[in-house]
Amino acid sequence: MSDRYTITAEPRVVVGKKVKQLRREGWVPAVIYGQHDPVNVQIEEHALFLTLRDAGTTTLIDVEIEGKNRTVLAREIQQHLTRGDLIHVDFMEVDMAATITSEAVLIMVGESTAAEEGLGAVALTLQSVEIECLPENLVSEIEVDISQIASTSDLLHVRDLTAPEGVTILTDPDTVMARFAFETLIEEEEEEEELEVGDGLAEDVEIIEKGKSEDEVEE
Amino acid sequence: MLMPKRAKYRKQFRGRMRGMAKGGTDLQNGTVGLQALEPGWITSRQIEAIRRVVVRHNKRRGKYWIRIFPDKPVTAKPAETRMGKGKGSVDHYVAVVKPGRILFEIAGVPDDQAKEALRLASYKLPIKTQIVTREDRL
Repeated sequence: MSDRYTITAEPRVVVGKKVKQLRREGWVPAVIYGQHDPVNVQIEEHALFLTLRDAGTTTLIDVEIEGKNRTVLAREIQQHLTRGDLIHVDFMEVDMAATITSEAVLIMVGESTAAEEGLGAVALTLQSVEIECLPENLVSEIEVDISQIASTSDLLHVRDLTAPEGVTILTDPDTVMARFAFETLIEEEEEEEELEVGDGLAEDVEIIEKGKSEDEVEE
Repeated sequence: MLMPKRAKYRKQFRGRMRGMAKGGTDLQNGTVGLQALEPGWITSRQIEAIRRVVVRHNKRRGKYWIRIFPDKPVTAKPAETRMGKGKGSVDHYVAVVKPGRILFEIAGVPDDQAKEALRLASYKLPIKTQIVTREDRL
């Protein structure tokens, strides 16, 4: 269903803390596991970043190692917390004949009548759903039609999703995924602000007494 | 203002803030968030100041999440007091923040508006911060 991406990797002999040196030279350490024995590889950072930016963890990638192709999915992408540099990537080799589980991101489409009336906005309470399918049927996104939320009390559940062909949604069908949430915010905030004018005192914090409580002593 | 309801001990040691945040480093609910780039103590007053800036700038639309909680008591001695006579009394509460921690999240308003709200809010903090979106993470 989705386009495939191709990337070239080199076998890696450097392991452990020494991979810091690789990173300084512009390589990202990665591992490919799954169908065969795990293989340590290194991939050029910029090319890998561009590929993963488009492919994410839900699109098949063909990794070429010394002339051989392996079809993989990025399973875990480790990034620096603040800079976003790639630290390490786990690739899982997939069997094209076996079903796999993956995640699909939910995307809002359409306009809610209640939101158009200026009463507030519709928000997703669930960011992604778990899906099961053959690798060739993998989808990265599933659309949520929020026009079904006509009034402020309407809820959208996972069962309201239309699964693409060949894809099974594993997430509990009764889970709420979108709701109209913000209509009462104005009143709540006003009340809250009034309450918070007076400072809470540090002495107001209750200290849990040491030793047994009265109930425990009675026992 | 945010503060614990109950505590096991009234006073704490200051502690150290080495390394990066261990958790709370990804956006959970919002589309735009404010991420700490330095370690520091964020007081409950500062958290309240951020909240007010965000609520006012977004004209009370959208939804926000405060991802830190001030659970660490900070003590202080009264003014013009001689040194000694033990540790001071609890003055206020702070949240201990390490680099990478998401402090605040916003959803339900356009990203540009949310980013501007967080930019204004960041001036209320004693640490460097950056604005992050879901697209920043692969």
